[in-house]
Amino acid sequence: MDIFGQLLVNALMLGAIYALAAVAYTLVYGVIQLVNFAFGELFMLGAFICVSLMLPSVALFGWQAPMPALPFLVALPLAVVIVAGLGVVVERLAYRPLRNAPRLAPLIAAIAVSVLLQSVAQSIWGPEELRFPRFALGQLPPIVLFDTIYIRVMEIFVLVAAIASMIGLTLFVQYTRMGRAMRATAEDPTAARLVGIPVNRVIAMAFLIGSAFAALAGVLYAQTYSFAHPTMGFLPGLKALTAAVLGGIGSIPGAALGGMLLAFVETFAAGYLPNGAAWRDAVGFAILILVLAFRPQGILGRKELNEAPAGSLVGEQVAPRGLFAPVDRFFGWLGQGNTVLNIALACIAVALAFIITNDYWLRILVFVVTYGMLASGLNIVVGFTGLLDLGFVAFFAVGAYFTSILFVLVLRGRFGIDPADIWWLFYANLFLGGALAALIGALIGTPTLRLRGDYLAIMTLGFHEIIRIVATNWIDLTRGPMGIRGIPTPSLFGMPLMSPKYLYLLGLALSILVVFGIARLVRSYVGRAWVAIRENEVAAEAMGVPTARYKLLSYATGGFIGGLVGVFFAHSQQYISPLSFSLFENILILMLIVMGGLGTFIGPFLGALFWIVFLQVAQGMPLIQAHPELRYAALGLVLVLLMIYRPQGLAARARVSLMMSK
Amino acid sequence: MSVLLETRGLTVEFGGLFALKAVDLQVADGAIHGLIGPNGAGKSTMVNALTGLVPTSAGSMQLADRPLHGRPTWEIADAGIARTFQNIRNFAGMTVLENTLVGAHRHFRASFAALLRRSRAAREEEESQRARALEALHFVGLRGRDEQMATGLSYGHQRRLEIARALMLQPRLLLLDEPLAGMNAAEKDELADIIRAIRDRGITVLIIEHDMQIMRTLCDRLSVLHHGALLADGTPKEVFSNPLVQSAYLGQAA
Amino acid sequence: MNGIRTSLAVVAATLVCMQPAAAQDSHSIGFTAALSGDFAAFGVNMRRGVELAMEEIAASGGPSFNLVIADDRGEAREGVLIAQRFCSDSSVAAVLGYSFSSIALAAVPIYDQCGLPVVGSAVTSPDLSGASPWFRRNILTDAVQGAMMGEYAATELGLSTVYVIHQQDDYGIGVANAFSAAATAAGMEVIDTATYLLGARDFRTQMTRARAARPDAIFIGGFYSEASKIAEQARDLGISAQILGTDGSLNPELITLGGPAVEGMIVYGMFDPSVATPPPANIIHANRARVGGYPHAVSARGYDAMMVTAEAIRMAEEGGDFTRAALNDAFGAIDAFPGVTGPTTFDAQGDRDGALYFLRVEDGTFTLAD
Repeated sequence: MDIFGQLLVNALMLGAIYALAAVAYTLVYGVIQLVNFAFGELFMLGAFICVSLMLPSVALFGWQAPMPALPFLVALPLAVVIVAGLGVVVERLAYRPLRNAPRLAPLIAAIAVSVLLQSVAQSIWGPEELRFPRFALGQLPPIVLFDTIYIRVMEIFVLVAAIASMIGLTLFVQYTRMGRAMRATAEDPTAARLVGIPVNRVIAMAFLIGSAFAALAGVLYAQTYSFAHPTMGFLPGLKALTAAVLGGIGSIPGAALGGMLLAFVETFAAGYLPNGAAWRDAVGFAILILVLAFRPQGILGRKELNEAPAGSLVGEQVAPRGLFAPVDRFFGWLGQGNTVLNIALACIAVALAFIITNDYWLRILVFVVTYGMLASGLNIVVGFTGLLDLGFVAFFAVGAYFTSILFVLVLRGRFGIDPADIWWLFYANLFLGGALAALIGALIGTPTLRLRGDYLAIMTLGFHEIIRIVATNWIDLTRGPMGIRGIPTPSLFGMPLMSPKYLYLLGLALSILVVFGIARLVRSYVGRAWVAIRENEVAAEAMGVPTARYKLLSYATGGFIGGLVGVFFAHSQQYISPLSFSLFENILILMLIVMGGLGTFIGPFLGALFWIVFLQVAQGMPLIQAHPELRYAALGLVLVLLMIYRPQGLAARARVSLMMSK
Repeated sequence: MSVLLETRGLTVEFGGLFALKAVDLQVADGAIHGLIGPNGAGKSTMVNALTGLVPTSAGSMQLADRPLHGRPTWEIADAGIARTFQNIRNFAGMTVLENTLVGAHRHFRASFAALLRRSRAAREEEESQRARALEALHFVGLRGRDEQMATGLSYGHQRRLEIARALMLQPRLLLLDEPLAGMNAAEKDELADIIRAIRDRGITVLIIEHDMQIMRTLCDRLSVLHHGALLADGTPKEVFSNPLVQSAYLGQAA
Repeated sequence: MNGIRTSLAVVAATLVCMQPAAAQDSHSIGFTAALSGDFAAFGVNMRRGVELAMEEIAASGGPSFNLVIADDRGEAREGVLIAQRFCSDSSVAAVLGYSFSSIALAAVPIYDQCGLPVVGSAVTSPDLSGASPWFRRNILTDAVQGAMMGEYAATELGLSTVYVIHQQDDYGIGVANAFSAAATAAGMEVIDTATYLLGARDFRTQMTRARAARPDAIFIGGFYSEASKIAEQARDLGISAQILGTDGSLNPELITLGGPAVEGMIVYGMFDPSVATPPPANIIHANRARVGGYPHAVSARGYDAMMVTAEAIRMAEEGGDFTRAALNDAFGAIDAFPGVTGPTTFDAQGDRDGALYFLRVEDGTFTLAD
């Protein structure tokens, strides 16, 4: 019993910080339905700027720069103001040009901005943690209650600051003109514009306030755990987003409640479950899934926000013009499903294996086909059916772990069977791993697919996190972080297909099969039902399409491909660990299809080619050799530009016909 | 004539407000049945309730003795009620032909395996539905536009596309929610002819429309909704001479 | 549309400039680690050590090497491609670095296939022992180290109960298991074991539980950034137990980040950054001049890895035709080559033996514990 009181205090602290950051997400989402992933980085910048201002000097870009050594109570508001301004600038440059773009473009731009800011922060402040400076308020001796509850004075400060800013914001939204305009815009942006509300200013205001809250949360977090680091914002950002969704995104009291609830669940799970700390994130996400299953709009959310957001996912058909014209003409031609052209393309892809002699480039191609296939699976869910899924990598992991556990831990480890004797099992596992992933997809999908839009996205993200945490912590099953090694390389009648050339050819053969299979499904009534759901779920249902069933089918089909690719991946790598299935992979795969072109067959592969080749070529640049962290900054920049100039993706013209060819 | 659609005490409530109050509606098999009423009378709510898009809080509905209240939308469609939408809801990213074929969803039987193999049955099924779709497009006057993107059609043609798509269900009852809105007189007449032709194919039509001129000649029967309740019911002649109806409309005009 | 044109022109120009550096006559040394992202600090410090060694070799009239950097960002996918990149670049004679055992394990099959020698400096997973004839490391493995600490805590320090907390990865599990086994064998009681995921910053819950258990000591099997937080949060909660750490915490940053909270903490490691055990003077001096402060333990190992590699290259060249295979044999023949972390010899498993020091944080520096 003597830990209960302390846990209560710990939870309150954490909850206050989650709640503040959740306000940032909720405010911007409420106004423009954008999940601004970059808030995690604004959170981090708030911390860095505040710490820098409080020090007498700090190393920036490796040089010692003099700093004003301000007291905490001056540095805090200053940092908040600077970051709030930065938030508005980011909105102006990266999001406003995308106001009328397809739905996913701003989301991808937000992720790109987040990657960019993180890399830039590492360039400025370096990779090492910066210690939060000591200051008078933080040095006061703790208050001790009942001998067992220690409360630092700063903890009271955090709580008071959180409550005060929440109340301030609520009053602002209730009683000021701007606040009312914000509420009106959230209700109906078109109507708001019609009655003369300056919508752009309102949105800028939402970013201003949101960024200020993120920065405040960042400073308080940094103070509480006494550090600042370039990647410190990622996980708290995700937690804040989860809290916002839990409380009902768009609702300010919901954000507060969600933040507190999440913090309490995490803290008490960590405190009372055996080895709870390792499982705390999984418990948090499990609660999220449970709440959303019974109350899809979140605890205090309005039902309307759980509707599918307006606007097309894929965007209008683009007319070929400008620099993209030749690209467009080519893909327009490709999209018509010309058999000769497809065979020619496949032949070129096969020929590459023999033209390229450099193993490095062949290995790059192995990854291009692997990620291209994986993205093709996700494309069924996102590109064709229009369901935003941020947890697709879970299927990939299921396939990879299934085959690895079977081959290495069970067959060889327990029964001593030589993998060479059962080489054919790899091919069977491609199917079985896919089927297992599809089955899990169906089980998870049944409660979750009632959700729409971004709620579904957060839910799938939670599902992935749970799978990843299980893979990390259930050591008896998966060997945890140590990973599984010695996975046999694929072989054909005893001939190992180990070299990059053979792996590429095998991957290519699978890719052709996968695309062929997807094409056959998409070019039929099934594909038409999927696209109908994407374009207008209500109309699809009214036309007799059992939308819930088809969404589940789409999810399971995508999952099948994810599982299948996982099996291929495990055997081609010969080693897997939870590191291969990180959270960022989900976002990466989503980016691949948005970059390449949603709802096209070639898009996923094109996106994978662009991404992997860009990163590899960049590795060799002199600037990147000196400053490796700038590689991702460059990537983020290219992505933002791509989204602004080509939000429909590179192969936007390669629209897929949904008719069975005669 | 037998009754095709019947509702008893159909009620829709939104947080204490009644959008529909115990509506008893009967639509005869093979009729063109008009549903009129001033703005906000609950006409669209009625169509949405009939298709399961709005949950009903009380009452029942049945189509040819088959109870359908509380069933999901797709099942109601599958049972034979097709509809169009007041604000057009075509599928933007699809061609005209693909749009139309979505309406044929319930006629497809091919399994996943059959599709992957592209079995003979799957191909034949697709071929026969494609032929039906082309015929339906021809019927509504969209011949030769099947390869076009749906968004590229003119407003009037988009309405026709919605009708063609609904006809692909082979419904027993077709619900048209303001199909003539925003059209000029010539277009309205053409569409009215199409609606009659639909009725002549044995499909019962329930139509919501504001243009009384057209409704007077088009409909076999009319029902009037006012403040969510059924105000009058009868032939167009009976309804338009009903003083209650007149005052309801005048009341709104005033 | 000018905007598009300009941006594309920029991209095109960038692509033109991106030709990889041309191969030179001198040997290239590949270096890969996580240099950006969550755990960049290890990689960046390791790289610094390698660069210091290269500068020193060149300054003392030795050969000059061309360093090829590749950031794996802590992603296995990148790790595999980087391995293949080095394999395919015939100018690369050997590869140094590696922050994560998982990434090294993912890369090993590729080095195995193309035959390129690797010396890792920060990867400790037991799975890497004997994983490949081409893979070596100049860091001790968890098992030995953790066991020595367990024995030391029980016998030398005379502690009787301990609360174990470790990071949930190969490193943390390895040291914690070895520590617990040895400590129990020496008569200590392990009251409870808690884990955390790498990158965690909130340990209040674990520390609240630890406080309730009233242990004599808390053993932290993890890196300095987490260890400093654990120590600080423990002290904030009024815990006064002796804190024990591992070589993952043997780092001047531990003291920078942990401040007074890590005072009195005992860690172990091969490199003693503040006490002049055999000749670390060079690197300390060079590091002071370059970046200020004491070098990281991982910098020291990077430095030694480069020094050993230069020696192996010299040996291989002396033997006639220089090939990667010859270099690999030379690595195998390295015998007690002196370095700042003590003498280096690689055993048949690719592992290294070395002396361990126990160090205590006193007045903000590491001093030899007795």
